[in-house]
Amino acid sequence: MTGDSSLVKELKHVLKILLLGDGAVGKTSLILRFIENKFQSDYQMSLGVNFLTKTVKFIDKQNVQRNASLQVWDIAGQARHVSYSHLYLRGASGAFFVFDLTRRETLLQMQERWQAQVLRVSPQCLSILIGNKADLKKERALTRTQTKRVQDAMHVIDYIETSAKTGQNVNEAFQTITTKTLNVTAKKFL
Amino acid sequence: MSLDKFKTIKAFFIFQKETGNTLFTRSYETQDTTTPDAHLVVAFLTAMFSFAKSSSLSDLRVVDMTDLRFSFIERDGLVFAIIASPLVSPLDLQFKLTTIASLFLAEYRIKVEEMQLIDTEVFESFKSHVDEVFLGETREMLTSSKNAALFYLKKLVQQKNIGARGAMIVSFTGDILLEYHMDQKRMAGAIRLLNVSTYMRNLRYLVVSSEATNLVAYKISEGLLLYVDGDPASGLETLVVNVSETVKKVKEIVPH
Repeated sequence: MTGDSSLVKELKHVLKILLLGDGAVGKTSLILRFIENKFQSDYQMSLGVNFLTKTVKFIDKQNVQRNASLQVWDIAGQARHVSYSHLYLRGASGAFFVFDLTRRETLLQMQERWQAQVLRVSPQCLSILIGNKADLKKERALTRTQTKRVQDAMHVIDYIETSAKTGQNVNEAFQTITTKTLNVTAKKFL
Repeated sequence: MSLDKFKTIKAFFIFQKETGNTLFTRSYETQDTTTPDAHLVVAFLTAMFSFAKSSSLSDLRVVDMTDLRFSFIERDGLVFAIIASPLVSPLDLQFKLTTIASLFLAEYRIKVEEMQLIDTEVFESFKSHVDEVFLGETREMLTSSKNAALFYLKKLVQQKNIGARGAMIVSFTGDILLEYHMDQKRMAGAIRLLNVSTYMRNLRYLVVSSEATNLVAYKISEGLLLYVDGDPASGLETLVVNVSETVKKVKEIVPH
């Protein structure tokens, strides 16, 4: 609890959040930035499926303190093909569909490649479309109109442009998926 | 030799690193006499960890013996170890171990932390997950796609003057999905080459040329490669051109 005497209670939540997208779009980097506030410029392909945890704490509009323990699953790019993907996709509360703003092909077919697979095993899962590498402005290969078209087709709850390198919007993306999944409005993040 | 021979998983263990207590074992050997003893495996791996630590080999994850390959990872004080045939790709083993470790920790981490005495019965239901991962493919391909792709591999190998002696399709982690006339030793060498590709972004193709082989690895799609073993007596350039033509054909039948 915080020292705020107007708080009446504290609620704990556990949320499984998936990060999905093609190889080298920056999924692992986004998680590292969010969990450890680090960035590694050397690329190494992720092998298999991994998860890290971090608690997001906030006060909601009813003055309830919410402690959401996020289990953030890093799904390797090639893991969408495996015959047992349902084992790690099921039970997800939220998902980030991540693409690289400098590589157009990573956005195309996002719906067929990833979203359909997730919705098959976790139909209640809310999702956000993430355009990563927003810091590479000169190399940007997609316009807002193009991303908006995919955003609308996927019926995601939000579209956010991030940079794991600079940290731009990374915390905000995780905060958004947390509050939207819990269906509450945050008054203040702790 | 059948493809299944190359993909043999012998046993899988989960144990506590500090105490050596075994939490979970799964053997895939059909005869009791060949089933690895969990206590011996734990003792062996514990000794390996001590050796690795004292020799600064902190990222040691695979140990090869003549007939066996040990692969292991450590997560949250638990060791996830597998014994497999030496021809199973180390990358594929790591891929599967990482996935199994995540599934196990997501489901049982709190239970393990709270356990005073180890009750292995608790983990019984995890067996089906482990089986599904180890016996599943790290790149799903429909049987119809496999049959069609095999047709193109045969066509490539049987084509005269190219020098293609064998071909196979593998996942990026080295799970062999399909092979035609691939030499066993070169198959193992090709799988080892995959370590290189994990450090390369947007790989298109790799060529390794030696006195014994011209080995060409061509990307079919994300997560899928075509390997061709070429005779060095024939030209490398002709081989690469023909392999790329085969890749185009395979791409048409394999979903990206």
